[in-house]
Amino acid sequence: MLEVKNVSKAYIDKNRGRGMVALRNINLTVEKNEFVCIIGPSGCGKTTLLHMIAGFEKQDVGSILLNGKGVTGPSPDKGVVFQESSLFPWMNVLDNVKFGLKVQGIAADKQEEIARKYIELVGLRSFEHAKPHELSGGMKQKAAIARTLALDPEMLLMDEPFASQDEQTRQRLDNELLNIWKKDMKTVIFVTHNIEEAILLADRILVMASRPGEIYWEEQVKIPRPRYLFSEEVVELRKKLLEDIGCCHR
Amino acid sequence: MKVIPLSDMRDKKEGVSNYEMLEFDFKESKIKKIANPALYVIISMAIVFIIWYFVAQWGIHIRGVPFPTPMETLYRLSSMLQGEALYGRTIFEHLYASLMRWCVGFSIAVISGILMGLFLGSSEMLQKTIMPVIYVIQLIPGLAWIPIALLIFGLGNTSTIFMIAATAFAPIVINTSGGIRAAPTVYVRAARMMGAGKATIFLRVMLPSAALSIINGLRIGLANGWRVLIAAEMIVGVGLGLGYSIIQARWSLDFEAAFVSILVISIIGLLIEKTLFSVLEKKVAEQLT
Ligand SMILES: Nc1ncnc2c1ncn2[C@@H]1O[C@H](COP(=O)(O)OP(=O)(O)OP(=O)(O)O)[C@@H](O)[C@H]1O
Ligand SMILES: [Mg+2]
Repeated sequence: MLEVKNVSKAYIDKNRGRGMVALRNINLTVEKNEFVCIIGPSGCGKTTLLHMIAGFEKQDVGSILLNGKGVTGPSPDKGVVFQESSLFPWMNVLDNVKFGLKVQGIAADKQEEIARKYIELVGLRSFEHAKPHELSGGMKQKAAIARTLALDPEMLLMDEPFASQDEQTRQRLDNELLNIWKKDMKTVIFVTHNIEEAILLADRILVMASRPGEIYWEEQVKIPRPRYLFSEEVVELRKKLLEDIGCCHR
Repeated sequence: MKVIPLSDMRDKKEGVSNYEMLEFDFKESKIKKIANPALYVIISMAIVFIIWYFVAQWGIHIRGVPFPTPMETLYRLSSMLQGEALYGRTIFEHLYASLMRWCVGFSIAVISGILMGLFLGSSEMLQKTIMPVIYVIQLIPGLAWIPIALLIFGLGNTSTIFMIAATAFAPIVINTSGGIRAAPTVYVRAARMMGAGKATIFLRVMLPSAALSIINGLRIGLANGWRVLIAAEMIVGVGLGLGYSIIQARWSLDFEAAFVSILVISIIGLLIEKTLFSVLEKKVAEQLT
């Protein structure tokens, strides 16, 4: 279980000599195996929140507890898929995916097997020997997802992972993610700009507002899975989030 | 798979149909691959020689000084290549002596510079406190090292090598540690997320992302070391070396010989840069990107 309690974070802009509150008083509890989506306008602090949970950055105020223990730094049980390209450009796809496995001292043949499995899963098999610069933006993102999934983390922190995919691929990857989530019992926190994607995936949707970054709406999505984009409930919820709650407008 | 010459693919009239294939193997003509860069070198050399020619004409006719022309210099060079002695030694012996000194000096700079750069790059505190010293070292002009070298090592080969190493050292340190420091945060974070420790991150993430910057430092160091040869060989005390020849030529007013030495120094410098470094850079770039 993840508990984010009264967390605030400010950034200091040294050039302008001004501070800026990026997140204010965030409270959030994510149950084990829950799938949570975060949506909100650009710059509202989604990445900041995710990075604090991952342990890359420290909150100024409040506490972040994972299974009752304070988060002190990143670790392989909190797998992160970064918003920007994070593959090591000097390694091919296979070596990138194997990196984390190697670091953890997994046997060489096992590394190969696990890495291949996830590369296959994201559909990059014929590109396993390609260097990142030979891949398109979407393919890089897929490789990064394979690399994180290969760690078999307890919690997945995904920062707009499918933003650069075409619609069809995105739907396929969404479904793959749901399968992995169901099968391997993971907690997922998934940031997206796409309300439909959030509705199709999430147990719960958190809507954030910016300046300062706050969670101002929580929506339990009770629609049974599998969900269909044009089913009445989905369309209705989409309308509610867009029009009544006005997400991405505050 | 069908192999098509790349020129055919690009051929506007004939090649269009070839684009119907999805993938193709191509052959680039070997002659073009070598001829193209060579052509550029020849053109830039030609420009140098033309400018040189006009400056020489101006020197001879307007100022009335015996300014060596490109022809005279090349002629003298060819006679030296055929064995004409320069201050009692062949041009090859001078070149060899200079190359050896440069090799030793540069190697010392490479090893100590990279190690120092890695050391400074490993911590922000070290970087902040020691880096200014390195910047100061970098600002010392080549000639200013002479008294320092003389005081430490006295007249002789060691002083020369020291000067070459000293001028090559700073840019290598600066680029190595700068490259380490500039490793993108997201790579470091990704590695930490995957469980990598400090040593692994340093060796397998920061070092590779610094590699091109390090090579850049080596390249600047190489040029610095080679350029300081003349000043450095002023204090060899032994009558051998291209730099030594230039200085001797100046005293004996044998400007042609000075120009030959300058020409040889430039050409060898260019060759080292173009062959050794371009190849090294290309190999590393292939590995890294
Ligand atoms: N390292 C930093 N230094 C200064 N300001 C920062 C830093 N990181 C983020 N910010 C600021 O904090 C705010 C939130 O940034 P964040 O990256 O979390 O937004 P986001 O919700 O992820 O946006 P997007 O949807 O565009 O990715 C922004 O206004 C940004 O300018
Ligand atoms: Mg973001």
